[in-house]
Amino acid sequence: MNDLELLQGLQSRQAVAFRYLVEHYQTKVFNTVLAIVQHPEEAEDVAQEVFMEVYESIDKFRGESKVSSWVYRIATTKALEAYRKKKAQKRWGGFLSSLFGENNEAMYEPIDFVHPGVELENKERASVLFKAINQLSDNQKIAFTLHHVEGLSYQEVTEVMQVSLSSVESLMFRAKTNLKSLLKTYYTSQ
Amino acid sequence: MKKNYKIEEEIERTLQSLEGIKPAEPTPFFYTRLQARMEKKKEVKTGWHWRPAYAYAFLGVVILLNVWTIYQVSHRSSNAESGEQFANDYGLNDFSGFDTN
Repeated sequence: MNDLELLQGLQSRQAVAFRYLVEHYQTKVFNTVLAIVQHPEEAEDVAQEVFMEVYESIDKFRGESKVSSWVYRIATTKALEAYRKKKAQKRWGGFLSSLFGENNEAMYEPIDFVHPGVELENKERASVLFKAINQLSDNQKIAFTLHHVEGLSYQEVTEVMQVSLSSVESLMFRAKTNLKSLLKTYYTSQ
Repeated sequence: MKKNYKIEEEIERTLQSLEGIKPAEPTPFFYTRLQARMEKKKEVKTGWHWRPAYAYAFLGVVILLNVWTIYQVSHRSSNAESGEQFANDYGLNDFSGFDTN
């Protein structure tokens, strides 16, 4: 099924088209979301929301970009929303427990995320890297994860993020510089 | 110097740790679970209480009840006022009950 057939099928609410979309994109969406929210159950929940959003807003999609870019765009937006929400809840939870005198450090310390697709010998290092990725700005985080985790080319990243190639190059350069600086702090303190 | 070199090496190796990463798969029956969630959402949205006609009718009843209550309260107080006026006019305010002695 090509993009045009898929789009027409989705816009006419064909179950076959929607099923094709989900089965074709579920791994891509889940993987993209997982790299940002860094929690498998939550990533699956957000991935479902991505497809629900695709289904509900298909009439607004005019086909000016590829279906894949559009789906990735919804996935990154939803993942960032979920990440921000979780962060705010943690902050609020931390504030509440500090008010009531509980030891919030143990409760709200994020669990180390280990991506299931990382090679065994790299798991520990990847976990350190994902922690550093979490501290990047939203755009740097999206550009970096789409390229390094999802394996999209710079050109594909420009289509998802709707920015120029030079902007993506700049985002990647700044992301790497910031990651190096964060990792330096981490390894110096070790 | 040697320590700095080691740190630089650690950083490079960590930055390269995502090379060869394989895509993470969602748990099986993702589509089935998604469908169930969409159905549930649809049921909630299309429940009778979500239909605009019912919502407007309910709102109308609430407004009518409010108007009726306000009318009743104001009417009752105006009745009480007119009763008091009547008592004043006919000098009934001094009445302190029957003398039983």
